Amino acid sequence: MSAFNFDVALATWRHVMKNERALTPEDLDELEQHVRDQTAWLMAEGLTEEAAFRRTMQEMGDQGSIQAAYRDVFWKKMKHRKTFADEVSWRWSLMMHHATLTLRTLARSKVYSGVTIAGLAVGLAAFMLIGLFIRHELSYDRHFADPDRLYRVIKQDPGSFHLGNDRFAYTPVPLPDALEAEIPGVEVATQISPVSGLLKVEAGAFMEDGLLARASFFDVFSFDVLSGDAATALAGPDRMVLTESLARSLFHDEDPVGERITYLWNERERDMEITAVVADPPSNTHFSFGYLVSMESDRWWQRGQEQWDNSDRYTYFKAEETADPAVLASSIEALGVAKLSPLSWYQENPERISRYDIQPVVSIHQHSDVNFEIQPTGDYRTTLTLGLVAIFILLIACINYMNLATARSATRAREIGIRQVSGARQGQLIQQFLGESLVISGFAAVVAVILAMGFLPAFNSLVGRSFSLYHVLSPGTVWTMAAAMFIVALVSGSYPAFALSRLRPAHALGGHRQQRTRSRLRSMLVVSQYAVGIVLMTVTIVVNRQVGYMTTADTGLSREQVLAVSIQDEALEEQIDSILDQMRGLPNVTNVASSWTMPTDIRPKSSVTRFEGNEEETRIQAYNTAVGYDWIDMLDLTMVEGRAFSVDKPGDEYSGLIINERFKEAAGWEQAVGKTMDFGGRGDHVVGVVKDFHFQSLKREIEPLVLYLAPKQASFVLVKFATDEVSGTMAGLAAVMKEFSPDFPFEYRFLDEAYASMYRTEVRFGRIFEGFAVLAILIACLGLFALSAFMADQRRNELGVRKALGATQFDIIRELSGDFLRLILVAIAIASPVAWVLMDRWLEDFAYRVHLDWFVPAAAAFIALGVGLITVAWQSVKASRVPPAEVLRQS
Amino acid sequence: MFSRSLVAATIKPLMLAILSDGEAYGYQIIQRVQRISRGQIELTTGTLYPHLHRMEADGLVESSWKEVPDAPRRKYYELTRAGRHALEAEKQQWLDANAILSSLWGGSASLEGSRA
Repeated sequence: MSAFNFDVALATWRHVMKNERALTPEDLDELEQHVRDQTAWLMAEGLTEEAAFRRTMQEMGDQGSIQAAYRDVFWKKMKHRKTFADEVSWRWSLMMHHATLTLRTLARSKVYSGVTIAGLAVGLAAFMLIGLFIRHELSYDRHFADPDRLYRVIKQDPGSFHLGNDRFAYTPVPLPDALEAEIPGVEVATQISPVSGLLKVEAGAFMEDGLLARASFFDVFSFDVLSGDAATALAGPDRMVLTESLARSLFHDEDPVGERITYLWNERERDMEITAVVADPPSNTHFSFGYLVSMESDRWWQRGQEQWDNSDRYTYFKAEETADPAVLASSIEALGVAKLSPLSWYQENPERISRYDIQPVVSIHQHSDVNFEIQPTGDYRTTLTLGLVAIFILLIACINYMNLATARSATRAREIGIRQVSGARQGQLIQQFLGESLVISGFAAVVAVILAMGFLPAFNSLVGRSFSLYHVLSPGTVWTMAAAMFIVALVSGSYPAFALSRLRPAHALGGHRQQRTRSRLRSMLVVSQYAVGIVLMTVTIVVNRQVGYMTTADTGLSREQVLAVSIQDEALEEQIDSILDQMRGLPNVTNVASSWTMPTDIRPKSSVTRFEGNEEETRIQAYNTAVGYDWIDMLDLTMVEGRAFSVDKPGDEYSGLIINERFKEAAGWEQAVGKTMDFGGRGDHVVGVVKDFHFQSLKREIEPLVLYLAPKQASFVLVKFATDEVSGTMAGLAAVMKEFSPDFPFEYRFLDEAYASMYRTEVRFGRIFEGFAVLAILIACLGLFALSAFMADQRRNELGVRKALGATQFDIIRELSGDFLRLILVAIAIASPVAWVLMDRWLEDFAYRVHLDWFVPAAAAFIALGVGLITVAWQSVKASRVPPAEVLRQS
Repeated sequence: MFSRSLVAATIKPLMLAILSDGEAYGYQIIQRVQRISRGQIELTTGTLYPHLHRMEADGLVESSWKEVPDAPRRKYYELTRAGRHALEAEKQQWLDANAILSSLWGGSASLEGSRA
């Protein structure tokens, strides 16, 4: 037994007290002197030195309460002594201490740190990019002044369905004036309509898209006016406003205001005065334009002043600040009824009077569901789905972190024990672990930003947007990122922090672990990771199968090697025959035909009521298009009855019709050829029935169709060619077009590409899911890889013993892989039904769709299982190879 | 023994009063309080020193270190001018409180008598 040494005891006591930061060295001096005095006094009373010291310690009270008392007065003292700098430097050194510890921990286990940071970085990068997209989608039209007071008028036409929808964005010409004059709460109304025409300047001619706009356009939609006067810019005919970028490409650096420009539009050349230059509409605007033409320049507008039953314009208004949208909507609906009901057609068909409604301009991009949008809109469902995917991916990465951190608690238990014994309170440990996860997610965030910048072009092509580094580094994105980083740190750090800081020191130091509950939680985390991955993968497979089916399906018409050359100059009508002849004469061209619409997407629709044998007043809603002579032949369509149009039958052009089988069925005809019907009032009769083919997207059922012969009514010339070497043919076609309409650019589309582009949304959807499913599985596998490596390492001794007792390598692999495989099986059991239900709902949108076979989720499951097996097996095999003697010697 | 709350209430006037006799260090103050109160008030280190520090931060006392042979230096406390004013104020309050309580308890019989 060692003798009591007062100085050593005092030094030890002082050393322990020193850990409390509220105690300054001066305080310790004072306290030490106190201990000395008291001990001396007690010794004078007759106690031994050791007893006196112990008594003094007892009387002083426990360390905790002394520290608490000093801490109470600490800040007051700090203020008094003005050593605030001390406090800051102390905090700083504490932070550095934690940072050093974290870095050491990270460096000590490079694989785990790498996996954790990589997983979080990929998750954060995906989150960042998707966040960018979502923020852009939700920002549409918010850049206008008073965005929440802007509305668009739309209408519902009962009984008049277009692509299954009876709501339309078109409204009649006189509506804005009526809104301003008759609807209280409407501050100002305006109207626009898209135009396309040829702008001629000295430098050349440019085909550009613009908008017809009423003078009040700028009162509703705020734009930065760079030159000219917005108030008068569109007042009066033949006035034009250019956007900044168009002004620059036409006039370079000169101010074009006051200049005149020749504008070829509606078959007429007009002399326009440029009255203003405005900033380009931002990309998050639901319409776009290169220029604005004053509405009064449009002769159809002049003629439509009183026409309430002819809708072809988009009407917007700005509501007064106090106006109630519900009241506005109902009074505008009433206005429509009042204007339309006196018209003779509506008197006969009162049930078909249009119902006007309003929609907030800011909701158009995400929520609009009307026909004839001014340009393609987004869809909140896609936005929502992407948002969920982003959160899921981030969650998977967080789960990785939690899994690895808790798995490693075993190795860190000793460190925690030591800390607890040397006085760390739970709060401090929690702080330390949260700090650690903050450092890790900080690292991950930096890597994520670099990843996001690197993958930006790929992401842009994936979602069809053009984000730049400017967007990636914008304050909004940075804040989102910082918030995501903190949330990730908190979510992934909280479980390890609270679980590990709660370890009992004795257990921690003794190496005991609360293995069971922790591994159950870990199992749940692995299961949820894999379940999400399997759902994403199933979605990918189904979407891609549906897209594959649609793009390669036999739609009944041949799309291969057919080119559609645009006829933009309406003045070419009389020369169509010559154009066709010249094109037909080109080498490799096997057939040509004019067409009013793209044969893969026929949209015009009329109702047919007067046809032979119709006594019950049946109305057939029939899609229709004007076609040229060889149309049927070149598209390899089959005639099931009668004949195709023929040059030898001159009557065809005035009265011949070809219908499809659906039409024949709808009309109830046994035999169709020779039957008469009124289609445009020319005493038409059916000359043939074409076998049903898909003339629209496979999302839609085949509906009745009427083809009429009008070779001059051509928006396109379809050209079939017999070679893969298209560039020569193309040059020939371009030369022909140049000869007939030198001002217009040569524009064309391949029929198969035009067809495929109808599924753009689905293709994109599929590709996005593919990308993110791969990411999700990758992150999950990273986690599984590290986790299994860790588990194998943990069980080295056990496995060594097992091997020494005669277990084969296979037994070891089975032992190690079995657990994980069971988890993946559970994930499959949970994910498959979820994926099935989701995809069953998605497929309902398609009239023609793939079967949702049982093997689709099974295939996803199989992939998950395979990838998981490979990941785990790698570690298992490695573990099973270690000779038992070596393992046991090491321990 | 005084209750904890009473000790907490009296500690400030006690220390002000003791220090009004001249400078002292912590251990001395504890000893003197124990002696004067005949053991009824026992100040612990955890109470005394933080209190002294708080009074110092409030400007009521000043401290100075003095070298002691063969031991760490000692920290002495003495009253400041503000401390003396504070002592006067405390004294007045305690005397008032004493007077009020005495009148209540000293006159308790008469109160009961008047009710009878």
